[in-house]
Amino acid sequence: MAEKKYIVGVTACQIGIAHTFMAAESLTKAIEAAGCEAKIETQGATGMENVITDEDLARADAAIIAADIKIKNPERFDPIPTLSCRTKEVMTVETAAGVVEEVLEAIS
Amino acid sequence: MAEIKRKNEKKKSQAGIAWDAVLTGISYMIPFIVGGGVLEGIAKAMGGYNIAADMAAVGDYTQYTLAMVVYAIGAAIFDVSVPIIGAYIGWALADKPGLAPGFAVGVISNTIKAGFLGAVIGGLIAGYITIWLKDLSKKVPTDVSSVFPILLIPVISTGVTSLVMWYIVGVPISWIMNIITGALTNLQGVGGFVFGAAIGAGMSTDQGGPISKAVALVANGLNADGILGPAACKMCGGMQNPLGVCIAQIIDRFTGKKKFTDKERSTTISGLVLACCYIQEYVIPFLVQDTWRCLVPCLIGGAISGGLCGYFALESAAVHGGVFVIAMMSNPLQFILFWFAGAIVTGTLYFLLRKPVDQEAEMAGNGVLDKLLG
Repeated sequence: MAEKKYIVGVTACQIGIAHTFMAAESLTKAIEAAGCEAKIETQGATGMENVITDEDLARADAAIIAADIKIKNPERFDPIPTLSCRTKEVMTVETAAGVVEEVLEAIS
Repeated sequence: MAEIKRKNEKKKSQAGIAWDAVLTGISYMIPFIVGGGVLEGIAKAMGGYNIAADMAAVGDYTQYTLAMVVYAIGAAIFDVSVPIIGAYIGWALADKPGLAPGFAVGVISNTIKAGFLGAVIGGLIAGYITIWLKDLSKKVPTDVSSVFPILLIPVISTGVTSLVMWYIVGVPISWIMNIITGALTNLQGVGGFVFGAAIGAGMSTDQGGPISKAVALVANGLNADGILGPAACKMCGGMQNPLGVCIAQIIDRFTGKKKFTDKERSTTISGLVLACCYIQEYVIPFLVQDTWRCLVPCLIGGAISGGLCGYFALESAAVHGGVFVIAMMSNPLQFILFWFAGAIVTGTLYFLLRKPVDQEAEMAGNGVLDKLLG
């Protein structure tokens, strides 16, 4: 069996108190439902949390950036395949699953 | 970037990029208007509503009372909010080099009284000029290109943008701002009701989505320019939504109709807490589940709350903060009254319109609540 894929991501909405975290949660669930490992950084009103580190990036297979505003340190994701979308596209587990599927198709 | 191409993706338009930059700017500006506005409100509560005039009478700042000092601090932070939005629009478009020209143009916007609108447009100009300069620096010989980031970009981008603002773009904007300020200051009665109802209903459409954000943007912007009425309409119209949904659940509980599931009703208390904190997102799961039956009552309630605030020309120095900033409004009791008035209408209508649901049905997006309550 192939090794479990590792997908990282960032979510950021405009105000950063609700949508950022809702999106992060459903994206995490969708990635895990697709049989992958997930780590989603949130850039909300409290700043960066659950930060994607260099170690994460070194073994990540792909990244998903779901943001309505410009995120901090986007250049981190330059070396790995990255999909950018709006937070509303990953706001529910169902829609997020579609985005995750696109990513998995692209990197397979 | 190793970018994954989206299927059927429309290429992001230039307008879309600019709009994202404006949203970024607002997102960084909010803490400044909240901090400054609330401090000013506290100062007014401490030292009287006419504290600004009293300060002018005192003149020398070493003679200020504590309330005056708090007001002066709040006002200083408030004044920075306009440059901050310009700065972060510039940053969002052109990265680090865009920050300084954006800030500069925001300061100029304050100086020539073009306000918030001036800073938004100026920030965009600053961003695009900086992008152009960055592109230019890649085309010149390497010996010269190193001068760009350290000298040419900061000097030219800040200088050109500010001059454009001062002489060209800023002129019509400050003229428009003048008219808007004139029309909205002292707006009350029927005109105020219509304006307030529009804001209140706008806030109640998508509960934190793009429409309510655009409405909030206008109200916050006017607030940054010292017109405090729209912020009260906005907050009242927005806060009545979660309260209204809770009222519907409470009516449901007492009438025993079981139009809500037990799971939904178990969120009533959390919903009330969120309503007090002005977190409209509580309504989203209900809105998603049963859009029209939830939307219509919210719109009506929002128009009532916002309209009443407008009619009586309520003012709020703070743009966020829910119940914690009510004490700093020009008439706190009126605000509470209008808030409940809209919410009771929303709640009653929503209860009446709602159909009994399958008790086993899972409530959509319930993780939202856990997350919001941390």
